[in-house]
Amino acid sequence: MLSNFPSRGLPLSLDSATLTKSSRLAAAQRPKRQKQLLGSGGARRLTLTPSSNSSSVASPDALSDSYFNSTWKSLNLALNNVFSDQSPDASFEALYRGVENLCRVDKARSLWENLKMRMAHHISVDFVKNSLLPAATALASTPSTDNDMADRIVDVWGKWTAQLKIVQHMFFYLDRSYLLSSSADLSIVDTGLQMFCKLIIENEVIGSQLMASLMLYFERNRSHTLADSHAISSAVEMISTLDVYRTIFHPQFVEATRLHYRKLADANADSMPIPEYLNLTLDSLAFESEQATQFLLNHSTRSNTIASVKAVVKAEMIQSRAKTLVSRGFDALLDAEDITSLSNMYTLFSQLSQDKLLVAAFAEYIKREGLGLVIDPANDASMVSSLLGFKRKLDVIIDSAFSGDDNLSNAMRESFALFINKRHNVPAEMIAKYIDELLRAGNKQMDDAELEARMASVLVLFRFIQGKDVFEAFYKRDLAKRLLLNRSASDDAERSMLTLLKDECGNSFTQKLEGMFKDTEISKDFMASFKNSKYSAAAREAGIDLYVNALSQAFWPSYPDTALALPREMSSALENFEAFYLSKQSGRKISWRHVLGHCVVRASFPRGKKELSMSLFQTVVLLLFNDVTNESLTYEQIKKATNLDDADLTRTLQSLACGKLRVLTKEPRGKDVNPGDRFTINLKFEDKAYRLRINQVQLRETPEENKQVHEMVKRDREYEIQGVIVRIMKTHKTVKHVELVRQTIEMTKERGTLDLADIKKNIEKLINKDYMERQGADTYVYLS
Amino acid sequence: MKVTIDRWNAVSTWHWNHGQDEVCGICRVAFDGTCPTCKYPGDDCPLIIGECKHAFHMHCLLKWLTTDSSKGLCPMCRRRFKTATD
Repeated sequence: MLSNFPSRGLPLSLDSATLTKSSRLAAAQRPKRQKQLLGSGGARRLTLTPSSNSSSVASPDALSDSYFNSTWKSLNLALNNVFSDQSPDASFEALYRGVENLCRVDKARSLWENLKMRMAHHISVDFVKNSLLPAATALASTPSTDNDMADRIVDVWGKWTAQLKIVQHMFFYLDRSYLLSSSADLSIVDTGLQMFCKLIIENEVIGSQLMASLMLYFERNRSHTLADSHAISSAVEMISTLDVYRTIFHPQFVEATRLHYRKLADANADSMPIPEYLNLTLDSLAFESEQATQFLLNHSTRSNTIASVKAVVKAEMIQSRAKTLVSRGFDALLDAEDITSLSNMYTLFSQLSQDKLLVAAFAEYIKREGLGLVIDPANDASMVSSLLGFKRKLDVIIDSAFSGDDNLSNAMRESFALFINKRHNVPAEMIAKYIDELLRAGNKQMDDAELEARMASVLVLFRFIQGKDVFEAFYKRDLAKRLLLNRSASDDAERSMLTLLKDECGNSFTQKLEGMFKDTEISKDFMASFKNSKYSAAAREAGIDLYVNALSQAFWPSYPDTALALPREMSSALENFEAFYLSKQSGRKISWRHVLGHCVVRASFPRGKKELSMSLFQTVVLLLFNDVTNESLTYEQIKKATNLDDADLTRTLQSLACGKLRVLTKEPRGKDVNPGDRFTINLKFEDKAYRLRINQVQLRETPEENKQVHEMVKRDREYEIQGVIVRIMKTHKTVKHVELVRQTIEMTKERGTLDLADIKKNIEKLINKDYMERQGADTYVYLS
Repeated sequence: MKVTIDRWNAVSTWHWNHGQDEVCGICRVAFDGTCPTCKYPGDDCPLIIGECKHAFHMHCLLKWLTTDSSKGLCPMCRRRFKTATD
C-alpha cells in the first residue's frame, strides 16, 4: 500500500477522516498543485540562475555544497519548529523554494538523506525516548488495568501525522520530482509512516503495551464500561493505516476474543439456564460484529474480521460446549416446547455442523418419552391420543424451530418406528380401536373435516407399526361389528378410511375389507328380492321383519358356531330364508352366526311400552318369559331352553339383569350371575325414553375375543413363516441353518421383526410334518 | 307382559356345499380354499361340478381342459366332462 503512486498524497488528515475520504481529497488537489508548480518554476529559472553564479567564484560543486549547507540549515530550523509544534520563522514559500533549488542542482539525494535522518531522530527522541518508552517500560514492569498506552500512541500519532503533512508541503518539490521518479524511495508521507511503524509500533516494549492496552479497551467495551469507544476506532484506524492490521493486530485481537469467550463459557455453560445461555451467545455475536463494524475498516477486511470473530465466539460458546449444552438443556427445552430457544439452538448448532448431536439427542428424547407412553399397560386406553398429542407437538417443533430439517424429521420417524414396536402388538391393536371409536355411530360431535383430519393423523402412527397384521385383524373385527350391527357412523367415513388404508398398504391389504363392504351390499339387494318371494311369508306371519346379511366366509373374521335353540316361528323364518338363498345360489351351504344377530323388540311393561334394541341372545332369553309371566326361571331352566353355553349365557343374563337398564330382576341380587340364580321380569321397569338400547354388550369386545384375535394373528404368522421356509427350501433343496434363518428374516421383514425362537419352532414343526429333514449338525434337506 | 320381535337382523355365512374338508382333485387344496392362482376364496374362485359328480375348483378344471392330453375328459373318471345342471 505504501509503495505505489495512488496512495502517495495525503492519506492522513488532522481530523482523522477515513482513508478513502483523504485520498479523494488528495486526488482533487493534485492536478491544481502540479499546474502551479510548472507555471512558477518556469519563471524562476530565469532569475535565479545568474544570481547563484555571481555570488561565488568557487567551483560549481563547492558552490552548491555551501548553498546546500546554508539552505539545509534554514530548513532544519524550520523542521525543529514544526516538530515542536510551532510555526517556522522563515516563510513556507522561501523554504519551498530552497528545496526546489537544491533539487535542481542535483542535491535531492543528500537532502532526502538529511530529511530522513531528521525525521527518524524526531520520532526516536521526541516521541519514543522522551515519552512513550518510559511509560511503556513502567507499564511492562507493573501491569495496570488502566493501561492508557493506546491513548498516548494515538495522541502521538495525531501529532505526527499533522507534522508530517507540513513537512510534506515544505518538501513538496522533492516529493514530486525526485522521490516520485525514484523506484528505491517512498514518498515523504509513506516514509514517515513507515518510520513511525518501525520505531513505535514494532518497538517490542511499546508495541506489546499498545496491544495490551487495546485488549483492555476491548475487554472494557465488552463489559460496557468503556466510556469512549472513539479511542478504539482511532487506534484501529492507525493500525490499519500502518498496514500492520493483518500481521500484528488481527491475530492478537482474535486470540483475546477467544480468551474472553472461553472464560465466559467456562463461567456459564454449566450453570446458566440454556435459554439464557443461547441468548447470551446470540447477543455476543451481535455485539462482536457491531464492534468490528465500528473499526472503520475497508469492506473486505471488515467482513473478514467479523467472520473470524464470530467463528471464535461460536467455537468457544457453543462448539466446545455442545455436548454439555445438549445434555443439560435440550430435553427440558423440548418438554417446555420453547420454540425460540430451540430455534436458536438449532441455528447455532447447524452453523457449526453440530446438528448431528441434536439429531441424536432428539431421537433419544423421542424414544424415551414415546416408550413411556407406550410401555405401561395401565395407559393402553389413552395410548393413541397421547401418542397423537406427542406427535403433534414434535411436528410443531420441527416445523417452527428446526425449519423442517430433514435429518431431524427422519430421526423422528425412525424413533417413532422404534419405540412403537418395542411393545409387541398392543399399539397396533390400540390404533385399530381408536379408529373404531372414531367411526362408530354415536360419535357425532365431530364434523366431517375433523374426522378426516383425525383419521389421517392416526394413519401416520399406523405407518410406524410393523405388526400390520395385528391391526388388520382388529380392524376387521371392529369393522364387521360396525357393519353388521348397523353401528357405523357414516358410510362415507368408512370408505375414506378404506381409501387411506389402501394408499398406505396397497391393494391386497384392503381387499378383504372391501369384500366385506361388497357382501353387505349384495345382501341388501338379495333381501329386496327375498321380501318379494313366497319364502318371506313365514317371517311375515310371525310379525318379524327379517333382514339377513349373507356373507362369504373368506372375507370375514371367523365366528364360533353357537348352538342356539330358537323359538319355532323364528327358526322356520330362517329355514325359509335358507331355502330361498340356496335356490338362488347353488352349491353353497349356509351357517348362522347367531352371535352377531340383533333384534328390535317391543315389550309392554306395566309402566309403559318400550322398544328395545338387543342382541339375538338377549331376545331369545327374554322371549322365554312370554310363556311364564310373573313366574321366575332358574339359570338352569334358561340354559336348557336356549341351549347357550355358560359363557354366553352368563354374559347375556348379566346384561339383562345387572346392567344399567334392568329388564330382568335377579334373586339373589348381585353383580355376578351364578348357576342357581332365579330371574323374573322386572315389572317396575321404566325409563324416560321410548327406544332403548341394551345390546352394548354385543359391541364390546370380550377378553376371550381379544385373546382369540391375538391367537389368530399368531397362527397366521406361523403359517406365513412356514410358507416362507418351505419356499426357501424348495429353491435351494439343501440349506444351512444360518442361511435359512437369514433368508427367512429377509423375506418377512416388512411384516415386522421375527423372534429367532419363532423361526426355530416353525422349522421344527416342518420337520415333524416331513417337509424337510436334518442332515448333519446344521443343514436341512427339502423333502418333495 | 308380552314381548314381540319387530325386526331381526340375522347374520349367516356361506361356503361351498360339497362335502366338508374335501380337496380339489387337481390342486389338492380344500374346496373352501382357493385354486393356486387365486388369492381369496368365495365368489372369486367358485367350484365346478361335472355330470359325473366330480367337483373341482373351476379355474383348475378349465386349465386342465385346455391341455391337449385332457381330451375333454374328467381327470377323475375319464368320462367326458360336462358341467352338471341342477
